[in-house]
Amino acid sequence: MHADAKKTCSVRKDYFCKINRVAHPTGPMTTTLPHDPTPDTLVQLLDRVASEDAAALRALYDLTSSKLFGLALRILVKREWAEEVLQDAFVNIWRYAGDYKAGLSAPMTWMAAIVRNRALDYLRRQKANGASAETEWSDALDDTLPANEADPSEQMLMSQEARQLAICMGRLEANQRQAVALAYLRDQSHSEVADVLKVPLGTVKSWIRRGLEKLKTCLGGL
Amino acid sequence: MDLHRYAGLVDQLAAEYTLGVLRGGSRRRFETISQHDPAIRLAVETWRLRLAAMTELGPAVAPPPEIWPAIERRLNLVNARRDATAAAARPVPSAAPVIRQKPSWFENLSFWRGWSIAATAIAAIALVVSIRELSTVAPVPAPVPAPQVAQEPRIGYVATLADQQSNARMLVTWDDRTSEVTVRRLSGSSDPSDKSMQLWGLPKEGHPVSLGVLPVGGTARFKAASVNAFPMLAVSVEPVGGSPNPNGPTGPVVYTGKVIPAA
Repeated sequence: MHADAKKTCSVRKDYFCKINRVAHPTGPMTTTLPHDPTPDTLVQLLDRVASEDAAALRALYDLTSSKLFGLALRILVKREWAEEVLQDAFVNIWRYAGDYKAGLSAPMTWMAAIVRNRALDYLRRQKANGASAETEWSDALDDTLPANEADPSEQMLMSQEARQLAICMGRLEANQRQAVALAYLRDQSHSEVADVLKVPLGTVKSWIRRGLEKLKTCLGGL
Repeated sequence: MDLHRYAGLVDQLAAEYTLGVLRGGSRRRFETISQHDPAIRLAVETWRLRLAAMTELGPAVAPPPEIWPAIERRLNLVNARRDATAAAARPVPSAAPVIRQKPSWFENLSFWRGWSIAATAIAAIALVVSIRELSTVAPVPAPVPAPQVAQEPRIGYVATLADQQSNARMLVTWDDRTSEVTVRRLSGSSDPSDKSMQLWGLPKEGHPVSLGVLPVGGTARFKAASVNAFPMLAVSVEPVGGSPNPNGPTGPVVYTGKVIPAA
């Protein structure tokens, strides 16, 4: 339970650790060009999308679809489901871009919340239709994914909150991190998380409780 | 049951509620209690902000190429583009090519709508934190590219101005470095026609001080005396050009909000 953070992060499959390393390189980001897209770029594009600028939606799609598809896959695992959800999400981004408030949430957070909500909706519908939604929370998934270290411009689009959260998630023990992420991203209960991770209910409860306590300490009072 | 009697219990429940693992009867009871307890709602909103960025973490995966054409088809963007070209000469009617429906999930998220004053204050703080770098708040060394920091405003104070229904309508930030006030209209803020909106600082004692008349629409940025002399800001609707009375608004005050130090 007291493994040190570095050791925890040496687990190669752990994507939070990957992100963590990428978002906060130890040296200065000298390769970053001034014209790289930033969250501000996304805000401007959303603004244009709100006035039904199709070219802006395309640009937004080019900048964010890989990140958002990754999220949809993370929640749904099945590719064809994730593809449908990504479509749904961009249809919604087009329709509701005018409701986006730059002061209240970062653009990537806003779009990712749309994807998560569409994905959870989709999951509920599949369950209602009797489909087996028992998708594995698969670390093996990370093995099949292209490493995302290579794309610093994508990291530039992350909100500051996400960068900070990545650091703090990286400080949790791997099992705490996984339980917290699973519960949040898939909106799963303690017992559902316990089923997926194949550990007793009490264990999951304590992982999540301790994980949340550590997150609070690390993130501070906001 | 008084949740506050147990140290840390409210925050723990708020965290588990926001994460989604508080379920069934416990969840409903917690919601009921929180309706009459601003401290609990504040804890929940704080956790919502802490966890919202979780969706941004994780590996990117390139979607297959056929997804974009499918989106274009569903939104009829190809036709819209053709129509726009054909109709380039005449003014475009304001009717949207896509019917905007109310999304059901959107209504369910109090994160976006119906913010309490406490929540909007927290949102404002979150914005400031994001501007000032979270790393300075948390005990974490978080190197960021230096050029980026240099370009960022140094926000000293922030205020979220809300209408009488507590809907956040304007976000006011004060940049220490440039002595500029930035007033950003949030969606839902509308300018009355043939009137001006004027920003006021409300001191603890004495009459309101005009900070400036806001240009119509969009984001306004102007030099002003420091806002830290004022615990509250207000926006009133005035005749075009601003209040004829230098010592206060003559028209209705439509938005108010507390000034919060960002440090």
